[in-house]
Formats: sequence, structure tokens, C-alpha cells
Amino acid sequence: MKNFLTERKIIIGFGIVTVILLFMAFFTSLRSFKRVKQLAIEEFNQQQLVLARHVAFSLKTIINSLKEELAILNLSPTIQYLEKVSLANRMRITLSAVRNKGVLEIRRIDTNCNRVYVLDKNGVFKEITRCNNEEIKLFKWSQNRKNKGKIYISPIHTDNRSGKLIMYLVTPTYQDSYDEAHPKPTHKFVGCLMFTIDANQLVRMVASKVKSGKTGYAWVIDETGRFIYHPRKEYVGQNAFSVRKKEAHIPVSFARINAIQREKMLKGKEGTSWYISNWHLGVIRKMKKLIAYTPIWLKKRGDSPLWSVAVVAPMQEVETMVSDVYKQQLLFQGLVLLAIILVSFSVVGFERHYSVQLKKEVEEKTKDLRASEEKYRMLVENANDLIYLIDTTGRIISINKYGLNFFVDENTWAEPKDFVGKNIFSYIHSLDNAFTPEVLKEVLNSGVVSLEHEVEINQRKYWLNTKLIQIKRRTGEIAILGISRDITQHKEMAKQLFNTEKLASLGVLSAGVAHEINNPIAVILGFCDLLLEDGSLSPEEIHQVLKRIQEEAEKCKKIVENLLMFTRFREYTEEITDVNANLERVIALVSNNLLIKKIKLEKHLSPDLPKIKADARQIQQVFLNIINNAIQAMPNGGILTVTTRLNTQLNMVEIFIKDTGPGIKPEHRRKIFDPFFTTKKVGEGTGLGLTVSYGIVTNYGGTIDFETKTEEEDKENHGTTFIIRLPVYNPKQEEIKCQAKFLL
Amino acid sequence: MPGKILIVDDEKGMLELLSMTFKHKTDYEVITTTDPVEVPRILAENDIDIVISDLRMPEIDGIELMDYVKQVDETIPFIVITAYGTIESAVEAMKKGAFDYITKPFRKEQIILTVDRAMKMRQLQKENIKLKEQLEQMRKKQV
Ligand SMILES: Nc1ncnc2c1ncn2[C@@H]1O[C@H](COP(=O)(O)OP(=O)(O)O)[C@@H](O)[C@H]1O
Repeated sequence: MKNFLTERKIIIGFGIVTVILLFMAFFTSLRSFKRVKQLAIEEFNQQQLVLARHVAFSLKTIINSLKEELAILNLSPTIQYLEKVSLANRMRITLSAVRNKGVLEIRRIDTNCNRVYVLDKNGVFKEITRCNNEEIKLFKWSQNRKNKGKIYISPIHTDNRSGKLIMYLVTPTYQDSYDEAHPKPTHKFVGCLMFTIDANQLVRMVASKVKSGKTGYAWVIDETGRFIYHPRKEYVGQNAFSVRKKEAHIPVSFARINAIQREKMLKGKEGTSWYISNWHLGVIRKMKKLIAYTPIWLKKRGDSPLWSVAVVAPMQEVETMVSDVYKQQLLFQGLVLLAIILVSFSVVGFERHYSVQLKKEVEEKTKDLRASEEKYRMLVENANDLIYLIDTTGRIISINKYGLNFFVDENTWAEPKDFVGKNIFSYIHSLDNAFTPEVLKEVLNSGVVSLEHEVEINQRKYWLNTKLIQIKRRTGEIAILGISRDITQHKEMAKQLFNTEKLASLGVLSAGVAHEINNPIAVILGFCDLLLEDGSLSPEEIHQVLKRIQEEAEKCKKIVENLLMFTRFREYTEEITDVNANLERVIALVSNNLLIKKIKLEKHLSPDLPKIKADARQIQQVFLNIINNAIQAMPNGGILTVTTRLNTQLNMVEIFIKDTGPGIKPEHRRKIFDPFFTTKKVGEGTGLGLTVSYGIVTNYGGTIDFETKTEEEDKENHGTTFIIRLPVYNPKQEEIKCQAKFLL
Repeated sequence: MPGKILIVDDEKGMLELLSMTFKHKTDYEVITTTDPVEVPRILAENDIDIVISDLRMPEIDGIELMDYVKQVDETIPFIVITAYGTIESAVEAMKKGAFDYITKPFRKEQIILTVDRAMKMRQLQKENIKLKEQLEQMRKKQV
């Protein structure tokens, strides 16, 4: 029970700790999730910033290379001296190098801004005789002596005709170079050289290749806040502050992005942040976007023109990425935890189940044990046997209450403990030397000894059936358990042979008779039938049939005779008769038979035997039956001893008829008085002889007993003795009987 | 109507009576034995049509013998002879498959009648078996 409680506590404790751990794990992972998300966002934005810088750097590199190309072209004497034949060719060479960088035209404005020589991107060369306003503006910048050797990058403007975002690279042209045709440079200002650039194409070349995260992209604005590049084509050329609102399908606040553009980007600052958007690559909905931005100083830091590049990506992308990882991690954690919990619970559960089972089993066993102990104790206490435990010398260790009845007189109070320590042999005296200290040695040798023996206890004689068993006590010492059953009565009863109950009732008897008699009668009747009705039987057959009829009729006669004698229905007369005389008459009848069978007769007839009262013929029948049995038991000769005497104690005449035959087998002994029990061949015995004799003798208040030993039991003195006891005739008793009859 | 009858009874007189009765009143061939232990051998060596047996015998009891005979050939009619007053055992035998019973003492007409009936049935059964075999063979040929 105690174990159980502690076990319970352990289980509950385990449960609580598990739950706490679970919550802690959950919270820490939640917190770390938030922090990791933050970190991831920052990290992501840093990467976006790197991308933005890359865009800025690439763009600057391209513009620098364009500047270089322009400067190199400007050094060409063909350009400087406007050598008309080779001018176009020279321009074409440069164009092929810069066309893919957004250059649409190469223009050369002459000294007075009267003529413009143009090579468009398809390689077509033109001479235009008028300058437009833009050209005039740029020419003026070029005329300024201070600007010699410099390259001007113009602001972007939208071309009215093509709608393209145009910007110019301009440089003043001086005749500083020389060649064969112009061996001496004039060093005069002769106009300017310029690239007309599609800004959008230029930027797109770099920006469109940017991919941030999965779907993030870059956009670029100029210093007026105009989109030079945006993946959404409609935005290109539009004002970044107004176009978003104009195009918004969902109303969202663009305050943040506007602020970023105004305060940071257009001020040439670099940084990362987030803003609310409503568009991402065609997806229209309200979303948070991460933004990284960096300035592009086309000339040099702090000097106009300024562009700004931004790289943006939906925040959700980062979040889902992080949370995906986190979900997996959480799932993994959860699974591990679950596995641990399951395993622990099953271990605890199994152990618990096992211990419950064990406990149950133990309880049951204990109960059984207690029950069996109890049963055993009850058995010993209430047994009608003498049960005792003695040591190897016979000293009593314990004894049951019933046993005391043997040791003390009735009405004397005694308790088992009074006998403990005393020697058993001082109470039980063996009359046949079977129960002595010697027998204990035998028990120690063989483990168990069983004996049937006669003893005297407390001056009374008993027959005991005793079993002695060697046992080992709990203390380890060897002891002997004795169980003695009082079989005195049993022994006496056995001596007195079998009682009337054994005798068949008249019903059983007649059933048996009916069967016995039925057979011969059926045969006789059948043959008669044949004889009477049929003339076809041959004389031999008739003879055979008649002989058979006779035989069967004999059988019937014998059966009926015996039966009549057994039952009381036959009339009989009671007379005062002499046993010896009746015996002599029977012996005379069989004497011939004795001679033939070579049987010696020994007679010991008591001369002064009292008379009995009985039907003499019946008494003779009894003697005849028993002597006949004796003769039949000695087919090869033997000794027949007939003895009579008076048993004064019982006041009965005793007749002993003894043979030296094979004896009666133990398994037949109980049956020989049963009607129709016979071991003899058909015709020799009917099985009624002893039944009838028993009936007659008991009818007169007598008894029939027998003592028998088979050859196996006693090789020397085998044989059977029948003892018939008949009451001595007592005239006084007769009177009483008569009176009793009258009284009735 | 010829046929073979086996009679088993431990009483010699009864056997003699029955065999003489059948000899003079019928055409049946009769084999008798007082020893039930002999029955298996006799069944094996002879084409027995009917078995008549006493119910009460020392070695084997009549019902046991019937069980044995039925095992060898279920179609052999088994007639039991019982003593008067022991109808119960006769009924028991009938329940277990005996063809009929005769109580002792009996009249010869009675037993002859019973045996004739048994023999008729036996003949019919034999015929039936033969016809079945023929049918079976015809079927086999057809196949
Ligand atoms: N003197 C004896 N010796 C051996 N067996 C005997 C003796 N007397 C009787 N018996 C046995 O008891 C049985 C019954 O005897 P009994 O009733 O006289 O019938 P029966 O003599 O007709 O068999 C006998 O069959 C025999 O086995």
C-alpha cells in the first residue's frame, strides 16, 4: 500500500513537471520565434540592401563606361573636325559598343549650334539644320569654358513623341586632337558631343535582374520622385508619390512609403524599413513589405543628379519562411515530447499494471494459503482420527483434540498441551508389536509407513489403521506425522460377514429366477411345438429333442427346488432336533461321493450338544449345500473336517465345515451369498446354494460366517471353513414368545 | 427365398431349437454358435443375411455384438431374443438399430414371420445396392 502511494506521488509529480516543461518550452520557442523572425527580417533586409547597392554600383559602372565611351569618341579628330566622310563611321563604331546600354542616338552639335549630326540606334546618319530647345540648353552649358573636359548628365525628361524617359550625356568638343589632315590642333571650341539615353532601358538592364527572396524586386526613382524603373510597366515615368494612390484598388495608407521616399531616398540616404503596399507582382491586397534603399550619385556623392534604388519584398515571404522552419521545429519538438510522454506513461502504466497483477496474485495466493491452512487446521481439529506430530523418538510435539478421547476417560477434561513432550508409546501399547519405536526408524528410512495393528490405549483395545509420514518442520528438524483411524468396529463387522441388506429382496430374486427359468422353458416349449405339429422329424431327431427337453426340465426343477427352499412360502414344520444327527444323515448321503473324489473325512462332533428348534429337512439342506460346495472345491481330493461344539458365551451351537480347497478369491468373497452368483459351469452350480442356506439360517436367528485363505495367501493351509451358528433351544424363551404372540 | 442366418446364444438348447425349427419350416441355411467371439470369423467366411442373438450372454452382451455387426455391414438385419419381462432391453436394442425382437418363450410361427420380413428387407437392400452399382457404371460409360 505504501509503495502504491509513493508511486502515485511519483506519477503525479512526473505529470506536473512534464506540463511545466511543456509550457516553458512553448513560451521560449514562441519568444525565440519572434526574435528569430525579427532577426530574419533584419537579415533579409540587409540582403536586400546588398542587392540595392549592387544595382547602384552596376548602374554607376554602366554610366561611367558610357562617360568613357563619350570621352573617347570626343577625342576623335573626325568628331572634332567634323570630317564628314568618316564622321558617321566613327560614330557607328561607338554606337555598337553602347547601343545595348540604352544609348538611342549619338549627336554632334556644331560650333554655332546651327547644325546637328545625328546617328540613330539603327545606324542611320542624319544632318539636321536646326537645334531644339534642349540642345540649345546643353550647348550653352558646353560653351562655358569652365566645362571643358567635363561631362554633363542631364535630368530625365519624358519624350513627348515616344514617351520614353530620356537623359543626355553631354561633353563640350574642342579641336585638341590632330591627324594628317589637321597636323596642328586649333584648341578652339567647336560645339558638343552627346549620347541620348533611354534611362529606363539602361536601368532595366540591371534592376530587372534583381530578385530578392522568392518574389522581391527592385525599383528606381530619380530625384524628382519619378519611377525610372518598376516591374509594373504603368508606373514607369510616373510620380512615385501619386501613382500608387491613383492605381490603388484597395485603399491603404502610403504614408510610410511616401515618407521613406521623401525623407530618405530623395535625400540620398541608405537604409532599410518596411511599408504598407497593395500590390505585389499582380497580387492586389494589403500587405507589409520590406524595403532596402540606397542612393545612386551619378556624378559624385552629394552632386545632382541623384537616383535612388529600392529593393522590396513582402514581409510575409520572410515570415512564412521562418515560420515554416519554426513549424517544423515545433512539430519535431512536440513529437519528441509526445514520444517521451508516451514512453514514460506506458512504462509507468506497465509497471503499475504488473504490480497490480502481482499484488492480486499475492493476495489470492495468501487467501488460498490461509484458506488451506484454515481448512487443514479444521480438518485436523475435527477429524475423527487420531492425528499427532512426534519427534524421531516418539515424543509428542502436537496432537489433535480428537486424539485425546483415546488417552483419557470420558468426562475427563484434557487439553492437547498437557500431552506435549510426553512419549506416544507410553499411551499407545502395541498388542502385536507393530507400533513400536522400531517402526519410527522404518519411517525415517522409507518416508512413509502404513500399518493395520491392534493396540491398547487407556485399558481399551483398538484396531488402528495408522499412516506415519516423515516431514520436515519449518524449523528444519525432521518429525513424524501420524494419522491413526479407529477401525475396531469395521474389523468386527468384517468378522461377522455380510448382513441381510446384502440379500436380494424377493423382487430381485424373482426377476433373476424368471430369467433363469425362462430359458429352459422357452426351449422346452419350442421343441414341443415342433414335435406336436410336425411329422417330418426323423426318429433320431425326435430322440434328440426329447433328451434336450428332459435336460431343460431338470434345470427348471433344480432352480425351483432351491427357490422354494429359500423362500418362506414353503410350508415347514419346526421341531426340536439334534444337529449332530442331521449332520450324520447328510454325510451318509455324500459318503459315496467322498470316496470317488478321494476326500478324507474328519469328524469332531461334540457328544453333548444341546438341541435346536428347526425344520430338520431345512437344516439338512444347509449342511448339504455347504458340504457339497466343499466337495466341489476339492476335485482332486483333500480333507473335509466337520466339527460341532457349544459356544457357551453366545449360547449357540457352532458347526465348522472345513475343506482344503483353493479358497475363495478376495473379489468373490462379498458376492458368494448373492443369488445366482456362481463360479461354476452351467449345470454344476446355480448360485443359489449359499443364498438359500443364508436365508434358512438367519430365519432361525443363526449366522453363517466363513474364513478362507487362497493358495496365494497361504500355500500350506489354504481352504475354506464355513461356520454355522444356531441358537440353542430354550423352552422358557419359547413361552415368552408365545405370550408375546397372545399379547399382540 | 434362400438366405443365411447366423444365430448366437450361449444356451445350447435354444440354438438346437432354432436351427431345427428353421431346418424344417424354411429354406434358410442356419449357422449357430454359443460363442459371440466367433462372430467376426463367421461373418468374414460366410455371406450372412440375418443375425439373431440373445441379449444376455456372458462374454459380450447382445447390443455390443449388434454394434459390431453393424460396423461390418450396416444392412444386415439384427434380431434380438430377450427373456420375458425384460422388454426394456429389447426396446433399447431397437433404438440402437435392431430390426425386431422376440421374447422367450415364443411360437415358431412368430419367429419365422419375423425372419421372413427381415429377409425380404435384406433382399430388397441387396437389390437396391446392385441397381445403384449398375446405375453408377452406366453413368461412368456415359462420361
Ligand atoms: N468351499 C468353497 N470353496 C471355494 N469356493 C466356494 C466354496 N463354497 C462356495 N464357494 C463359492 O461360492 C460360490 C457360490 O456358491 P453357491 O451359492 O453354493 O452356488 P454354487 O455352488 O451353485 O455355485 C461358488 O460358485 C463358489 O465360487
